Order: sequence, then C-alpha cells, then structure tokens
Amino acid sequence: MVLAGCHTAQVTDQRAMDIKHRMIVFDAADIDVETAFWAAFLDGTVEEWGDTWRAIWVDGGYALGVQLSPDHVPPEWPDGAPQQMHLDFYLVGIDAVDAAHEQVISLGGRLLKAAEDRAAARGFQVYADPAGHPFCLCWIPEPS
Amino acid sequence: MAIARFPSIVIDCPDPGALATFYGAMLDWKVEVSAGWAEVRADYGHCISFQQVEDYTPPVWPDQKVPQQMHFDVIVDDLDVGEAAVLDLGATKHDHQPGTTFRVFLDPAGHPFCLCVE
Repeated sequence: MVLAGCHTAQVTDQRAMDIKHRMIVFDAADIDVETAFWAAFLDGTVEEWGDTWRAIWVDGGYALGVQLSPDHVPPEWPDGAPQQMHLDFYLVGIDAVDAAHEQVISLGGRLLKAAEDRAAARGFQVYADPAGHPFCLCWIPEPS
Repeated sequence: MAIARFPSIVIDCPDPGALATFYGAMLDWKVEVSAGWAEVRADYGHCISFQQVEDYTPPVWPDQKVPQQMHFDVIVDDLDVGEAAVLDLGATKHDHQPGTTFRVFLDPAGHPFCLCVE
C-alpha cells in the first residue's frame, strides 16, 4: 500500500496495441451486494449483463465490473489469501478521507488499517469492500 | 456525489519493473520505475501501479485455491492480432477458454487478463 510517488528512475516510450477500453473486474460471491457498494461509492450506474456479470458506468466509461465467482475466497490482507491487486483512491487532505470513511462504513465497507500518522502530509487507510477486496483511501496535500 | 473518483489499481507482483514494462507496451503508456514500485500512465492521466511483495504467489484461475480476486479486461479490434501481440510481449495463453468473444491470458506475473471484442 505504498503511496505513488514521482520518483522517476526510468521513462520509456512503448509501442501501441488497439486497446479501446480497460475494465477492472472484481470476483465476488454476491455480485449485487458488491456492485451496490461500488456503484454508490463511485456514483455510477449499474448495467446488468446476464446473471453473472455487472458493469458500473461512471463519467462516460466503465469504471468497474463485478463477476460472479460462487466459491470466491475473500482476500485476507495482509496475510492469508492474496489480495493480488487493490484500488487506491486519492483525496485532498485527511478531512476528506474522514468524510469518505463515514460513507464507506455506512455502505458496508470495513476498516482494515487506520492511518499511522494523521499529522503527516500524505497517508492512507486500508478498507475492505463487502467481498473482502482491500482498497485504500489516501490523502495528499492541496496542490500548490 | 461520489465518495471518491478515478480508481488507481495497484497490482502485487515480484518484479514491478518487468510487469510495468509489459502493461506499458500493451497499452502504449509511459513506464516509471522506482524502488519496489512501478507505474504505467496514459497521456490522459489513467494510471496502473505495481507493488513488490515478498513471497508472491501467482493466482490459479479458475479455481479458488489462490484466487485471482480481480482481473483486467481490455478491448481490441481483432482477437488474433491482439493475441499475437501480447504473446510477443511475454503473456501466456490460458488453457481454459470459456468464451468466444474474449480470450484469457496470463501476464508475466501470472495475473489473468482478457482480450475482448465489442
């Protein structure tokens, strides 16, 4: 859960493929609960693609998908079943993280790790979504 | 109003630079590598990050012994052309191919991803 920095050691131009859209897809045993959480979190609209798939549309693009995985084993971060990947959300200032925290909890999210130093200029708190996928609410300073 | 916007995904892996190079080439995004962390970033700001973890265990899909937890879908114009390109970058085609409108591959760290047609 390291905060992304600008410590550029190498910048490389790469060649292209014809990628039109990119979607991150969560596995979950209950796709409606999982989708409702993320649609509310992102203020998105839900598209139902059959019985096993949901897509969340935000600002003209697919923000997230949720795929039925009936035997889904939730991650147990930092030990246990691997998280494999997680989402970070950046907000300006810890007050914004505190406000988001209340909404996340009310939607069914769980706090996994509180901020280590609330006085720091940058930091993060770790949460789990209803299916157990970790995500972080990170705070950054006001842009100068 | 949304609680937060612009999710930035962070992928666990043993070698962030290698995986960032793979996805940077696939998406034509710029690659930035630092100690234990790497990013690929689009001109329009989207970002995928890669985080080094100890004792990394690749997912085993589709069973749930070591769950994939989540995966990427990317849209291409032509599955055959896309397949050749990602194999050339170091992807592996998965033995299990449950659909006809998408194909499942593994990235160099073993994370499943799909090439899809609209």
